[in-house]
Amino acid sequence: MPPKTRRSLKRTSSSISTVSTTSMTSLSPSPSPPPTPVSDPTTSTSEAFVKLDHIPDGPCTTSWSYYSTVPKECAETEAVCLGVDEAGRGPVLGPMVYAVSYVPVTRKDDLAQVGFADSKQLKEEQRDQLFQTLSKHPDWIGWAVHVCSPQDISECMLRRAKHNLNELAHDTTIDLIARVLKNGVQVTEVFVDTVGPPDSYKKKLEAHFPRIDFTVTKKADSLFPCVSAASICAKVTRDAILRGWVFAETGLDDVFSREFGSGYPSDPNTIKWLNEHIDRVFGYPRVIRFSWSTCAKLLEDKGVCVRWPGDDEDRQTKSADIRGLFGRSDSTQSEEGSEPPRKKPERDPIFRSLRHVMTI
Amino acid sequence: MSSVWCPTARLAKQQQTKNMDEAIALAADASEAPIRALHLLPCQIDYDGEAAIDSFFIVKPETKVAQTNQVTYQSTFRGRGLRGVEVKPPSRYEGAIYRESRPPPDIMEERYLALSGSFSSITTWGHSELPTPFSNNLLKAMTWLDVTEDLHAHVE
Repeated sequence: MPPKTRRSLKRTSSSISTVSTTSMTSLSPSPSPPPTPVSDPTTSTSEAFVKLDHIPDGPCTTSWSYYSTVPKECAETEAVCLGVDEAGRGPVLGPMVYAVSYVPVTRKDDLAQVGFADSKQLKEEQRDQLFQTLSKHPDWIGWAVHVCSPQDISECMLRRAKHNLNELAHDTTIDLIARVLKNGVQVTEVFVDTVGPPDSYKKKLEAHFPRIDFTVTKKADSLFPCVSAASICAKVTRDAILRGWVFAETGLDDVFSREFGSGYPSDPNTIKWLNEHIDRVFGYPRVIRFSWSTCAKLLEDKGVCVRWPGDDEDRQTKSADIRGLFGRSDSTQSEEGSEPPRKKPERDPIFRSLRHVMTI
Repeated sequence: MSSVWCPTARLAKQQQTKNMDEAIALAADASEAPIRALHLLPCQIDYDGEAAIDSFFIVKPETKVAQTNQVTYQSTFRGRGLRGVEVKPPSRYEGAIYRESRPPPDIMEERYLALSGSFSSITTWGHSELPTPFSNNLLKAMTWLDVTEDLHAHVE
């Protein structure tokens, strides 16, 4: 299969420092190729899409991360503050992106001055512009993103040893902070935007990084400029990946629409996409998070029924009354101490036929 | 559709005899396209028919080098991660595919299976883990073939 390239060609920023391919699961080892800078000035303005340099070409099947070069001012100071935010946690499709941005503590307010305020209030073009602002100040603003591919999210949440989204979010954040520290940045203050309960999350982070002062709160992106900058990195990255989504599936790239909508089940465009692009057997391409109930319900209604061995056990243990484990219940009449009668598994009739084959 | 390993010699013999009195009628169907790839998924799919396998079922060899020389594969189905290994029949065996033209009304009735194709390997998949003879019935059966071979071997 020839390597696929992103459809979008317009380039904005130009510096690439490091791209590492990581995966949350040990099962997705094939690394996606590092971004190859394609600079073709003739086509750069005609395309409607904005291609960002830190996003690798090709389909987003494995998770990856990008770290900007450490800004000179951040490397020299002994007090750096860092903001953490996420984009695309709730939607049924596309990647979930975690981002950090960091500046010297002394320049905290400068971030607000160059325009980083409440990012949720911004329009898409404004966010794109602010993202460009980031790359205009590589001497004092550093940033990084970790992109969890929808396929990795599905796999992670559906595998036997299930991982929930909160754990995934926490692990990703911890990895991002650890890597920035490892790059020699002396982070002293961290501001985290959270959707879950802030207190337990704060404790978890403090246990990992005892020397950092954490502020974990809801709506942190409107309170702290460094979280707002991180929020923009995350949102712009997710939007760009979805706009130029490369289907990993063969032959779908020119057939399947990219009018995904917001990805939230409340968005009629998202529901329309889900309804129009269902495959009865395979379900959906890998842009969809199969672990979301919206997707599971649609497949239950319109798709072919697929049963996985472990799932039935799960359902049985959930529906079973826990009291049944401790004593005699009315429904089970088995005597105490005796094993429940075990049904002998029925032999497949094919074996009976095979006996005849052997005797011919 | 069922697929089983058959000793090669016996398969050829049955194709020649075509004796309808036999418990199972076997007939080679030349119109059937040769099987390119067979996959055994670790789930039950309530469907028998054509599917967009070429589009959706993407199989990639794993880059991780295991200590054994066995090539392992990865794929996904309905959002689940799959890891697979290719299984080849032992020497003297080949893969045969049968179709049942008319299913018997009763489980004890004799069954008529038609040989509709052959295959040389099958890829068996585990959900998020590589299949092993302990977890995977096909691999278990393959191990059993070795055992039967030894059990029935002539002792000098």
